[in-house]
Amino acid sequence: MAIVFSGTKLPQSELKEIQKEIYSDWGTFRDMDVDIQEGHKSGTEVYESKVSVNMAAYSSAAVSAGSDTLDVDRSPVTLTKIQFADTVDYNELLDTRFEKSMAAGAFNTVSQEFDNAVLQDITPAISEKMEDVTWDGATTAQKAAIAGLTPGAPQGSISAGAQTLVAAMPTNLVNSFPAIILYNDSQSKATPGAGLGDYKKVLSISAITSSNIAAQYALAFETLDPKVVNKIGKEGAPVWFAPLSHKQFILVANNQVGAAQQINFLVEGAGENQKIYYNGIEIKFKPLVGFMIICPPKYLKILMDLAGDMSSLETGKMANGADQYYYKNVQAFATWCVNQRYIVLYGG
Amino acid sequence: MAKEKESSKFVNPFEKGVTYEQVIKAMGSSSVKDYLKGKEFTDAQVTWIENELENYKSNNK
Repeated sequence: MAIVFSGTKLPQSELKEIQKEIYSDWGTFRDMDVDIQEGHKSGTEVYESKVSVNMAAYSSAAVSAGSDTLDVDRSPVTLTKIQFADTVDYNELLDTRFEKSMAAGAFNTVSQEFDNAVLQDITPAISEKMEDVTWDGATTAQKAAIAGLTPGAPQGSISAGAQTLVAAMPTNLVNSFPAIILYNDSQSKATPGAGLGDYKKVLSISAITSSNIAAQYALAFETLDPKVVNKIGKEGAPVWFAPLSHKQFILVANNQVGAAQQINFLVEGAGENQKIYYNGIEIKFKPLVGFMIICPPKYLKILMDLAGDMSSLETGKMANGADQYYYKNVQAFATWCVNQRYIVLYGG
Repeated sequence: MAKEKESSKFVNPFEKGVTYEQVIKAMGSSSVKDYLKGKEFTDAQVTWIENELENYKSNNK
């Protein structure tokens, strides 16, 4: 008699490993690629100073008031308190492989396998998100302020291209570095207060490909203030923050097929230890979109309550007998920039 | 006559304080290439101004 089976047929085996997402870590927080300042809960004040002196003919008389300036400016910066939080209902995992790792008892629905394979990826996902918002994105108010600026070609005006890039940025609760460099209310600018940043703009740029990346980097390099160029290789040396895709363009440019190798970029090492330099300035690749920032990294500030807040996750059971759990991560965050006149913003 | 002279005055887009609105007004119906022709601008500068004005018009639709 032939076998007769009634009922739904189900697979009786599964791949043990659950393939995970890749959570990028571009080193901004891990390697302190910019100046991360902790200990600020809601707001802080950033001070900048500048001394200007005047040469005068010698006089043996008593010194009288002159025209030297000892300038100190104070800019208040407000941090934004943000959170990553949600609820988890393990009942959704019943009738899945994760049921096997739930302890006996109808009350017990926490799946150890799910926690180890999926829930523990919350903090890497948060870190990736914080990297993204640091380098790309703007608040609704910031987007409106930048859109309201009058664009023009020369230094001292925003480019229309920059306004297009900002309009296309994700709308976030915090401002990225390009957004805050383009528009801020620093009291240390040539014209203090809310308005266009004092950054140095690179003129006559074009969309970057592997064919023209060396020429575009040359334009940006030529825009640097000589005082910044003079710091290359010394304490306070500038760093070049470039979009992630530039790494591929650079490696292709340096190894042109069928042509003599053009060593415009110095590539040292390989894999995790690989470093790339342009004219002595180390290039660090960040999730920037359309912009590059070249300056001493201490001019770019991230203000936080505690940098470790990023990897801190509170979990627990919901109140009043709910069979659900919650997780919550809380941070205080703001970006800021100082000595803006020495920051080159390509794309600005 | 004076009014005609005023509108034909060349507006250098790279001059400090000049806005794109002023450039577009001065260009009239000319293309960027024609407007900047013979004024010692590089090809890169002309192309950039073309792109900038495209972005400006698109942002102000």
